[in-house]
Amino acid sequence: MAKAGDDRVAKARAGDRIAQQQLWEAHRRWVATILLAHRGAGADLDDLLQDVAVVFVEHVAELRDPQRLRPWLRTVAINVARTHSRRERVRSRQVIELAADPADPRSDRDEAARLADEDAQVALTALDELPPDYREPILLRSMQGLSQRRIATVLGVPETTVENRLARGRKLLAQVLARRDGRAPTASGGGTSTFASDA
Amino acid sequence: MEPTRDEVLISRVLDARSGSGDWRELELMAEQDPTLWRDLGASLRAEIAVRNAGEEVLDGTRRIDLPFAANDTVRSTPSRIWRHGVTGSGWLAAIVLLCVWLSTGVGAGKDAAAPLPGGDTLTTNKLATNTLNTTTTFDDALTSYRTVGFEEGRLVDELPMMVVDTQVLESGNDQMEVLYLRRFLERATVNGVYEVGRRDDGTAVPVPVHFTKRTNHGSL
Repeated sequence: MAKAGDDRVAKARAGDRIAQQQLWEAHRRWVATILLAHRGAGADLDDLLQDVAVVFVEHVAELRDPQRLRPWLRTVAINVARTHSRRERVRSRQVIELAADPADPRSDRDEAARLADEDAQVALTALDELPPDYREPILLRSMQGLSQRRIATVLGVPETTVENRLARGRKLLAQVLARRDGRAPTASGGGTSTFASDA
Repeated sequence: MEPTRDEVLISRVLDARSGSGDWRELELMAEQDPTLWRDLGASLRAEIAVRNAGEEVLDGTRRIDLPFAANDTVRSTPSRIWRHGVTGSGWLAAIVLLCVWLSTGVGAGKDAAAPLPGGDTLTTNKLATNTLNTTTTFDDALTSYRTVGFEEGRLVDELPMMVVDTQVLESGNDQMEVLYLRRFLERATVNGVYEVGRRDDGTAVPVPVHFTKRTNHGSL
């Protein structure tokens, strides 16, 4: 299995479009999950995913180790999300200065509108309130179904750190949802709206 | 920030990793503070919501395909017009090209039958499955017409050109303008054949031609 995957990566590196397409289809959901974890508030997932796709096609030839495809894609996705966030901050400032209109016309309402389930919509935007350190393990666990050990490997942190971030992040997420729902969060744990993550 | 013990226990429940000791500890804590059950319910609800949101959002990413440069052939359907290399008014140009390409059938490209890396080949009937093809010149379009036409069997032959008129240009560079006729022999399958008939008052009407078998191709 790994050998077949390696061959596909080798072909993709050599410019084989079919192999590139197959790899993209196999890892697109992974990339999207990482983008969700690191995007800035209001960033459109489709736009970010497109940017990663461009980088993938243009730079996959530079990938040395076929086994490192997922980590490489994760790094690309994080860089794209951060670059986009910086651009958005600059653009947002310019909009405020030039037009005195602080409202960013772009939001993730487009993708939220596709969500049939109201809780799911709220959960997605509530996740944006969490720091990426909490958001990423939650998404890798819930959306990708990774074990805590796998998440620890992906993030390069001890397994206990993953468990702590999951526990803390889930509590914070439940509090955000309760606040949006008009329910008072319980007193235990950090009930602040600005969250700090452990390093 | 370190999580509290109850947060860790609830998280283990959500992951189905809680052992009997964890449950006992959680129940003991809940005897002192019953709101823990509410926290467990809220966390479970949040977990389910995130999973549902994930399914919806990740399923939606199927729309996002790889960008490939113009004239490249890809087996996937273009589901989104790529910004890659197209900015500003280029968007409009890309859309117009796509419309022209789809409406005329031009644009399969001279590499249409070329084998793809990996040993795969593309069929020629791929107007709906090709990516944006930015045929930009008359000669490219003509080449595409010939390539696709011959491969699909629609084009039977190209007859010699006929010169209709010539005219020496006044530019003084020994240039001559040539009017010529290209002649392509095409084949088509039709469901019905009609000939022009006349009513008594002389008006033309289409009259169906009935036949069972023809050995020679009739004039359409």
